[in-house]
Amino acid sequence: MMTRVLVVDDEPLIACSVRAFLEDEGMDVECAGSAEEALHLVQVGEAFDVCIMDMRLPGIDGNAAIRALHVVCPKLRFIIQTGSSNYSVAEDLRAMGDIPLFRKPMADMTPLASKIRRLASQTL
Amino acid sequence: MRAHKVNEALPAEEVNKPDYRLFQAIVDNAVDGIIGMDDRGCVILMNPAAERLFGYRAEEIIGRNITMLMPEPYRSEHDQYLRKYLSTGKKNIIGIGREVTGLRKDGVIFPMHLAVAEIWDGKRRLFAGFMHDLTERKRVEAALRESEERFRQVASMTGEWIWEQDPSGVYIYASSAVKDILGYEPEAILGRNYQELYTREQRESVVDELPESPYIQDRFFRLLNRYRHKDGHEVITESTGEPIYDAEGRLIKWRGVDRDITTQRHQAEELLWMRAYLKNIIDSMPSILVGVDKSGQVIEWNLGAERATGVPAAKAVGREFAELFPELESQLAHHVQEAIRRRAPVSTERLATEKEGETHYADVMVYPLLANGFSGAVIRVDDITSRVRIEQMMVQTEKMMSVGGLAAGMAHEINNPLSGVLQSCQNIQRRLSPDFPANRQTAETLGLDLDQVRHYLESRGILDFIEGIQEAAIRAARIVADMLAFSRRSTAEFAPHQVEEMLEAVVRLATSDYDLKKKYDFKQIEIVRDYEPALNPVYCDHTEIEQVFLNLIKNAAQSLAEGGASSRRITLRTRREGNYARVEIEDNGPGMDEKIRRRVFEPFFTTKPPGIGTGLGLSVSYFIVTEQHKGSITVASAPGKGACFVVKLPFERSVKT
Repeated sequence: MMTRVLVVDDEPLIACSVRAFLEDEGMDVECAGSAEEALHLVQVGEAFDVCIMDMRLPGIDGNAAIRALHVVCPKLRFIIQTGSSNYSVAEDLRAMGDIPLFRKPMADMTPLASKIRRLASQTL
Repeated sequence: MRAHKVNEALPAEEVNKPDYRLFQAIVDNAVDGIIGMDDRGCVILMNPAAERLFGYRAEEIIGRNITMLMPEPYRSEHDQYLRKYLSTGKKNIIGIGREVTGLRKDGVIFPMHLAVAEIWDGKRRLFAGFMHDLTERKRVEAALRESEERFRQVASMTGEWIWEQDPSGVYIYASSAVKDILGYEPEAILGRNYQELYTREQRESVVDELPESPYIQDRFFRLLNRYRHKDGHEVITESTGEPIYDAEGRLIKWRGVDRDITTQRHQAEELLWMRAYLKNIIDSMPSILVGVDKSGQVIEWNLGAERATGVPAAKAVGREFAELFPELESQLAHHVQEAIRRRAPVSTERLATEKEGETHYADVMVYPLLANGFSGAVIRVDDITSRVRIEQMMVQTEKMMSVGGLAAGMAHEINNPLSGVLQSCQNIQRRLSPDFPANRQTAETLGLDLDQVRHYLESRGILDFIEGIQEAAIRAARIVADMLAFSRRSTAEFAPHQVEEMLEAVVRLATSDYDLKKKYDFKQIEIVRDYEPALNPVYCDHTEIEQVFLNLIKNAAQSLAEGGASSRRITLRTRREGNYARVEIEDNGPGMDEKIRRRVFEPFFTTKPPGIGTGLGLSVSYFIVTEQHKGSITVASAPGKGACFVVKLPFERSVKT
């Protein structure tokens, strides 16, 4: 079964390029331009193994989105991708298990892909 | 016949008797005056000595009353006196003799001793007066009295203690001044040896220096003596003395004078002390203080001036200020005259001078000195080089902090588009690769020869453009990351680390890292290590300090690549310097001029060609060392002399921040 990935980023070029790379890596990728859109997807029954979450988002921010998605879908694993220099994973989120942090800009997405595979394998 | 014959009336046979002639000769040759008179006071005889005494010839007096030779009051009293004696027999002068005065013919009254004898010649009562002139004796006596009086007065007026000692140094005379000087009555010191009056120190020093002193027979002049006053305190005198000899040349005694100079001496000592104290104050000041006269000649030269110039005060005094401070003189030429003329200080701030290729700064104040008719000035020079440097660094730091603050705010906004660019580039590269299975699949569907496409892209240089886009974006990302370093304030990662270990880690990285090896040929560079043994660890964030060292070593390698010595060398040196570890990273490359040297730590200042550096490496290093670690970083360099970066890191965690 293909790994299903949800990319949440308000920057279409980033969402699009991550999706392209991961699809080339043989994953099934869905994009959401906001936290609200991501929640909607999960609520309508879409199931994902890993969610790549941007932190600075219009409306609901990354941290809140992770908490909300976790409630709906407790098995979902998260990767944080951020352009902020001083971000560190919030204390309560760490309780959900390993949440790897990737900083933008990401010149090479290969480590991202391997991290997704590792997380996906842990959920099974 | 001589008129002064004893008695004209004597018969010749009486006169011609041998006894009478002898008598006559005695009277005529007597040294004292002899005058004879009868009981009525009428003169009947006057010898030659009496003639000389009174200035009368005998014939002028004989037959006249004796009172004409007497001044008042004797004259008036005489007849009464004579009558009284004749009636009462009460003697006042007769047979006794006393001092009276006589009246000379010329009117001068003179002292004389008069003794009167009573003679009975068988018929009548006669009197003979014997007179001895006392004029000379009286004169000598008066002179002696005058001299003694003068001596006494002078002695008491000068307040000097005049003394006499026997040859062994025992006092045989002391003037009353000794009471004022030593507190003893003169009688109390007579019979005592002068050394008994000395203070113990003086006594001992005399014994040491002059064991033969009582036998020294030379006069001495203003010898310093320290006596013990009766009440115990020390009295300092200046003693002058002379030996007195008898006719055979034997030492009889010493005579001398002691003058109390305790007060002057104390004043002089106080003056010396005050001068030393003032000198001490002047020398304790870190400033250079130079006193000059109107013409600019040095009068006073403090320790600060000595330190700054290396010229000791003894050699500086009397020389021209201009000659001793040539670097200041050109800029201060008329300040001394100006200050004197305006009667106000003339100050110059931040005077820049060149010294051994480095710029130094000084605040110079010229104060006029106009007291007591002397006109000159005091020149005060404060080296403010380090203060100016700190100010410059603070300005630098401020600049960097603002860069940091700006970077933190915009990092997100720049990193997002950069991420889009870089991720897209990666996708483009992968999707153009003929080896990627998904690409082949799509190409087949479209009936496209992927190898041909690849060939086309290569021949048109499109892959290079993509790589170019990627590199440009990576560089931009690095600039943002460097700028962010300025805003990092966390000291959470601080721990003690060995400087040597950090340097070695960086050298390993530099010589093994592929990118670094490619850019800087470390194989051609000799790394010299000059480490202080057992240097304490410094308290730091080792990743940041290693970043600093790497920046500096990369810089050194870069400058060595530009030329310089044929044998390229980087020296790593560590030293202990007070509370700091001093780390030097020195190259023997081409060095840099002062203009560049001053700006190396400025953000975005670079001498490297575009694309090689971000222009932030050294400013990041500066920030890490000074702001985060409370250390310092400086560089010494000159064209052709290589460059030496000096990093000082505190051993202890700074109390600041």
